[in-house]
Amino acid sequence: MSAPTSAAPTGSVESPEPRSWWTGRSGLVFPLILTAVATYMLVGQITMQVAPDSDLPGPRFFPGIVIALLYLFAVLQTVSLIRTPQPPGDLHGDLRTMEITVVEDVRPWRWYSDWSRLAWAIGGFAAFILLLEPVGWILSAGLLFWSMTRAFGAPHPRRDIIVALAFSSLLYLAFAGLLSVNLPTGAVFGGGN
Amino acid sequence: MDAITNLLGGFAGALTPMNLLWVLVGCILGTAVGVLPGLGSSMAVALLLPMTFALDPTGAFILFAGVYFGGLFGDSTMAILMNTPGQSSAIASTFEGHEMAKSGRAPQALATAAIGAFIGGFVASLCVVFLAPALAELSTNFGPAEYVALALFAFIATSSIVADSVITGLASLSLGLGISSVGIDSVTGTERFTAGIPELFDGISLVTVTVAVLALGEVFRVVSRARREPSHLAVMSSRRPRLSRAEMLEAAPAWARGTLLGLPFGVIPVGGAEVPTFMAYSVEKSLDKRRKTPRFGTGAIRGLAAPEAAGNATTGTAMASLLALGLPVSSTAAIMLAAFQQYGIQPGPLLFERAPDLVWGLLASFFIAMVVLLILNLPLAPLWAKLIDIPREYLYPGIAVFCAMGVFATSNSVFDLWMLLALGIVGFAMRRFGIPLAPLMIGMVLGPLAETNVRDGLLSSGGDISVFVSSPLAVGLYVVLAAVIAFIVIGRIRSHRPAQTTFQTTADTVYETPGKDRRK
Repeated sequence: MSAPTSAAPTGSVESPEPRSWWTGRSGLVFPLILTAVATYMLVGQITMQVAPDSDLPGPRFFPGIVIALLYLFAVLQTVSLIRTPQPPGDLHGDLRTMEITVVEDVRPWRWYSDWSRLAWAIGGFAAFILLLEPVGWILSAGLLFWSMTRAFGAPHPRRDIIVALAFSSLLYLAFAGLLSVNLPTGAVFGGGN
Repeated sequence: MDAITNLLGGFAGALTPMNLLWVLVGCILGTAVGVLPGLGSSMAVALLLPMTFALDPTGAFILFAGVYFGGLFGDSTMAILMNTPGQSSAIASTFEGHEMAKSGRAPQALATAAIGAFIGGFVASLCVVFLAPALAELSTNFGPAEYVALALFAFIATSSIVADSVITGLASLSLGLGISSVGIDSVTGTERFTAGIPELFDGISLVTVTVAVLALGEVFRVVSRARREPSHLAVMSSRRPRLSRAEMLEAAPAWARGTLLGLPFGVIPVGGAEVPTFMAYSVEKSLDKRRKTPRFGTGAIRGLAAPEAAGNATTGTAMASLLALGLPVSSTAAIMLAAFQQYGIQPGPLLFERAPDLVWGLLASFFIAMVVLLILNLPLAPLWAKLIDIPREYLYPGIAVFCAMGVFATSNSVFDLWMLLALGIVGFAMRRFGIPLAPLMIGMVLGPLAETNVRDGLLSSGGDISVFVSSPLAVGLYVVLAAVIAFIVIGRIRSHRPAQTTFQTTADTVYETPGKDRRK
């Protein structure tokens, strides 16, 4: 449903507050990702060790095209975003839901995305990865679950610790126990992997 | 008839108590995930993919058949009750379906959808049974030229049709192609873009990418909006879904038309069932205008029946091109392909000879899944809607833990978890900025196929590009591709204004439902 929203003349929406140049242009993050990937690939392309006798087209052929495409679309998208900013609300590409079809003109929030909440989610995930092998699945997955509930602003942080540990233990029993999926028990408890 | 004997053999394999249990479990899990707001059938398959590795291949694919079609049922249940389609292919169902639900006919709407999906899926599965072996036979003659043409077809069609803007679609596609080129080159053994990290020698796993982009990215998106969007209320009704005779007669032609429209789209790689569902909807709408009393806009049963049948018909025949050609035409099919590869099975022309038990068992379980879903969903649809009562501060953390477990279980490496997190953030950014995800998946899956065949073709011809247009079949594909693109472009230009008016009404209704507290 986002196609028709974007068809609406977004530039002419009157807003009571002054908007910064970045409003509707934060989508520039995506061309930035494209450029980063393309540059990483370009460096890889140059340093790639290709056997001198390999037939053409060699291993560099296809990535070369991809790198060119990545730079091309990064530029095209940057240009299109600078010329026509795209305010949030027009979302989700092919998996869009209709939840957010209406964008209110006056927004009490400075950012469209809730960065403090996202920090809980992403930070929790990173902590989970770091702790997985040292302390094992039950504790680290419990931590992941709990920090995610914090990210959603669940009202009972203490009760949620129990919910989280119960959930991770249950998964451990079901998958490591019954289906023999390999989940680490944790180095500090003497379990290897 | 060979196909019938084979299919009966497949039924014999699929109808064991254990396999029946897997179908049932798959249907329930698929519907459950599909019902959850924002989570569609492709996410259901992605999340459950790692869980199936503990099973034997036949059991796993039977489970998948259930998840695959169950997810579609779930998508449309939510599209009707809450106006939140989980997948783009369910959007067309919301227009009339949600109108029906709002006017107190939710049970009828759910029944219409369930029966429509059943008919579409059933007819499609029948087609696959007879069509797929022939298609496999045909594709044994395929050389590099044909495969390159098919891959290009899928690339261009997916990124230009699914995406709102062609640039974002192609950008997403290129990203997928880039991801797929990491790892050791299969032709020369050269290390590419691995930065010397051993975990990258085999490339970035499709499971990791799928779970990251489709599931974890969605979790992050919901987190980023949790404080700013109230949850929705579903239009509920506790009555049993049942259609009167008159309603059945009214919907019947629409079911038939939708099915017919949806069937061919499964074999054409245009990125899933979105196009046929919208086409079915607009066909019914224009037919409706000619009637004495047009009913569209007030919950016309035909406006729901046709897209539902079309969507499932496409999803069904999509399995034909996946099994016979090894060509996934939607992101859900791409994940199924990953599942096959995980078991060391390569879908394609040789599959029917190499793993007949598995293929026919899978096809038989499609039929079983259809019947199970019809039995399960007609009476239980209102019950499914209760699932959304799970508070989301527990639901999404649970999904996040599942993502982590699934990826770790398949890869057994912490490195893949970091990859999952990084790609999950990319997936979030793509959702946030409206970049379509399907082209990325298609690029990732078909990239290696395209590359190998381009290089093979050029090697054998000594660098002469004309080898790619030397076969009549390849040329035919390019002509069809050009026609499809022209059709889409013209269609977009012509439907630009009417589409906008249709939307205005829907936007208002969306706004009205959660209403009061949002408007302030």
